[in-house]
Amino acid sequence: MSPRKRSPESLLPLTQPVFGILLALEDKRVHGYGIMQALAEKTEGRQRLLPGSLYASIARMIEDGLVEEVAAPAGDSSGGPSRRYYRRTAFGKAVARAETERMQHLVKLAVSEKLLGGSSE
Amino acid sequence: MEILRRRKTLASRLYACLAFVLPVTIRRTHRTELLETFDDELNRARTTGGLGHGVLFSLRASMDVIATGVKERARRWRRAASPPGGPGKPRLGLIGSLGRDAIEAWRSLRRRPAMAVAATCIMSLGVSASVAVFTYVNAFSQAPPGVDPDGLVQVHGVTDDDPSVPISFPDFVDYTGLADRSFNAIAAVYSASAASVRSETITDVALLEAVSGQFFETFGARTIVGRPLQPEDDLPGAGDTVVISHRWWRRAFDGDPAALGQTIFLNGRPHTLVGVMAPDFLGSLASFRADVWVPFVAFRARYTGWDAQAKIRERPLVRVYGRLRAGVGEQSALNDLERTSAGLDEQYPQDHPRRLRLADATWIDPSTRADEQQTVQMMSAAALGLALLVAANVANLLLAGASGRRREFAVRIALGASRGRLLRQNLLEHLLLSVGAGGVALLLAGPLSARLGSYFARPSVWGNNVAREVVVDPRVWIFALGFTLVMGLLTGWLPAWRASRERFSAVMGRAPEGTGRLTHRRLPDTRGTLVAAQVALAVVLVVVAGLVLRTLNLAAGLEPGFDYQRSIASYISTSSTTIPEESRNAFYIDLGERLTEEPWVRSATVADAAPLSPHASARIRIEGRSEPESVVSAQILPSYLATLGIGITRGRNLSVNDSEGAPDVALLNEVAAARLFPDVEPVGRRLWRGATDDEREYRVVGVVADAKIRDFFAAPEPVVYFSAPQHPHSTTGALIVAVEGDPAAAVPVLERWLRNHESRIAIVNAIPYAEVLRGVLYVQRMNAELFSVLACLGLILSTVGVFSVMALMARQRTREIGIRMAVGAQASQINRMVIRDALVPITLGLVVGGLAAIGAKGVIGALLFGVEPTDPVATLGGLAVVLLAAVSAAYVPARRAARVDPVLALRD
Repeated sequence: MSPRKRSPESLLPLTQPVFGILLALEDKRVHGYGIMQALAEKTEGRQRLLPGSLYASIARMIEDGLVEEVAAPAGDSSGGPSRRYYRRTAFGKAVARAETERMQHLVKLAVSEKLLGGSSE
Repeated sequence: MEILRRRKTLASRLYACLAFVLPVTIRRTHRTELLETFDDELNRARTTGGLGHGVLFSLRASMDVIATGVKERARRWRRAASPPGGPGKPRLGLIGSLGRDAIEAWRSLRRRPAMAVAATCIMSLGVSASVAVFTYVNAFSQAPPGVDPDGLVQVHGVTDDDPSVPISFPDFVDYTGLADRSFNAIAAVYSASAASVRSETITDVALLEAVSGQFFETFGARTIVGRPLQPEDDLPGAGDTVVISHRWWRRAFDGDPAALGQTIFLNGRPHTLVGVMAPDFLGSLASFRADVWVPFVAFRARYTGWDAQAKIRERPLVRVYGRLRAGVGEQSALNDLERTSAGLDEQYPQDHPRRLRLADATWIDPSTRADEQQTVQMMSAAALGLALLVAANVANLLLAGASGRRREFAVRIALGASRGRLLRQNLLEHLLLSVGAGGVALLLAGPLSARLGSYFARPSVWGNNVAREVVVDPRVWIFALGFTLVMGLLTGWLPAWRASRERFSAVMGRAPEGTGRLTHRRLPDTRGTLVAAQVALAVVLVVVAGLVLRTLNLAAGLEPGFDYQRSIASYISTSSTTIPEESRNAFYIDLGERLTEEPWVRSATVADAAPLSPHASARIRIEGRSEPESVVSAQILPSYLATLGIGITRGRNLSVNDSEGAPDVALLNEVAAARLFPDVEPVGRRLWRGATDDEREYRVVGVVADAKIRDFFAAPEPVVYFSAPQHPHSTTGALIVAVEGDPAAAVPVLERWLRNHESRIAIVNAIPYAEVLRGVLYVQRMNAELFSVLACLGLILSTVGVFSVMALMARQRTREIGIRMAVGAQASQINRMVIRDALVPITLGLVVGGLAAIGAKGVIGALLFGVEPTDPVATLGGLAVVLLAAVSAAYVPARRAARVDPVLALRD
């Protein structure tokens, strides 16, 4: 089955590293270590990936069609010769969106239960 | 390897190694970047947070790569295993294929349930015996139950010949000064003795421990009601307080919390109950199940004799425990103690400087461990022997099973299965079998080791000793697991290796399946060697069992020299009564006389100690000899000799006139008479007892027959009997009653009589003397039972082993036998031929086993009494029993082989 024929919801819920990688990639081409740094930066250090989980997740995401390997952007030599660069696929973006909606729904539920806002009922 | 060499730091080299856990697909694509990313992040962590952050990151990253690797492999394996008929056969990683092999192994075992059950049962025998013995030995290092074991240590005094000596009370008081430095608390305990305890509802005897104020804090023992004893309770002037065990609370107060604050009389002195210990706290010593704890200050006020000893620095008296402060090691605490003891050596010098040792507190007294070391060693050796026998037996069984599967293996190899894979799968099968055996062993470990512990609940004059508590703790689990794996590999590797080396052509070409003989050029082959090993181990076990049985037989046949068949030993206490000390002897004489008037009593007497219980020693000096002689001393009433049936050989018995104020008299037994007065008639002679400056003179009035009143196993010792009324201040408590009829039936009658007629005394114990004797022989009985069971198992196993191998061999030689019979061989010739073949390994086993049993005589000797380790009856008897069993086992298959129909055999 081709990944593009699958519905994004079939992969939900995403694991934390996979969702984090999809968010960190934006629409840019980034190498693995770059993804790690970007995610730590965006979450102010609250979510850090470790190398093992990072590359195992990337390998699985390539299999699932969420990311693809691409050539290095012109003029970027930050990764050195051995770095591979990755980009989010359209399917990857759709899956990230579906996951966000799922989480949004959950957050709404939590808010309606007054879990936020200091209620001490 | 190249990738490892390129790594600069140890951390990144380690990480590169760990990365091999990841599935090969991930490694192939991402390994270089993975390692570079690790290096980059490690550098960043070090630069921003220093070395600590670097180490932390390395650890986290390492754990992560391992976890990810395992997870990914499992995922891939699940995916590969789930949809059959997918495109191409997925390649499995190590863990995946191991999992699949395990499933295969399980299926294979399910196809042969009889073999699997038989092998598991046999193996569980070996594992169970070892695990039970380990559990029992492990109990020696366990902390008392119901306490906090972490950091609880015991302070032992050390002398040249004893590594576990108590500490003197004054020294203990000085060590308590360390309570704020290395220790959170230091405490001492003295396991005193039985005390008469009276509450409103019950008067009974309980074991009492005197403790220092910090005792319960040191042990971390909890109360269920009220509070434990505290340092304030142990201060001079504190009210007499007491804490009791949960057991005693249930018994005396029906578990009523209102008991708190009530008065309990300990030996007549009132104490206030302040707490009840939690049910799991059973005291500080396994052999002394205390029910009552009192502070030292109260104990010393009551027991003035003990108080006097507690003032002497040279007198080792109390066991000292400490709770180490968090972060303080045993060594630094010991250094601290030694500094104090060096100060004490200066201030109060002794013959030898004080030496101390710290060890984790154990419930079983460390000296007990030393006493039982030889028994424990023999137990371990026997269990190991049985385990080896089991291993040989199961290996044989599996070899036989494997030979039935030769075609299967050959076909699988021909179809492309690697030999390594077959080996692995076979080993896994055997490991699964042994894991089953390990499970059975763990289930049995508790009951079996409790059975071993129950021997310690032996009857004695003083009451029944408590059974040894044996707990199955995590160490036992680890041992069982390790032992099981070793057993699995031990039994499995040979059959697995053989199976993996099958040749397709050899098997499918219907070449004969081996020669079917157990010997090759007159030497046993693999299976023959295993048979020989089993026979040898069985010989050792059976010979040892024979020796210990003979020991028990001999020891049980020993006569103590007094009439134990018809009498009851009883220990009574009057200390809680109002009878003044000086009137006690008169009271006891009267008690004996009143008892003797009862129709069921032949005679009754009271003495300071009953025969076959500890007796005091005395130093006796006689005229014309400067060196005093050490003898056993007993203080008795005139009725003693008649009650115990000890005859007077010369002179007279003690009489009622030998009382206080009359000239002091003594009786000697024959050994004492011969030793003290070798050349003259002892009756009428004088002897002196006591220290030189405080000697007391006695006149010998009679000589009596020898009786073993102290040590049952030694030759009769010299005994001097003194008249109890002439020693009014000594303790008296042994009541011996000779009865008409069965003593066991008379015990409750006696107890009822004492309760009804003499409520002032407490009965500590009443027991037929025959039971006491049984208790004396507990080690011999334990050895006899243990080794008999092991020997029986060994014999059964080796018989089954010989039988199964012979049966298989006969089956394999069916064609050959058919040919022989077709050309004229008689059935009897075939029979002889098969048995002759079996005799080679059996004989070899007998010789090796016999030599091993003789070679181990030093170790075995420790278990024996009155029997030589090379005792011909036991050795030859053992050899004969094993030979008979092995030949019988070989005979049945041989007979069956001789009945083969040559036509059928050749057609098959």
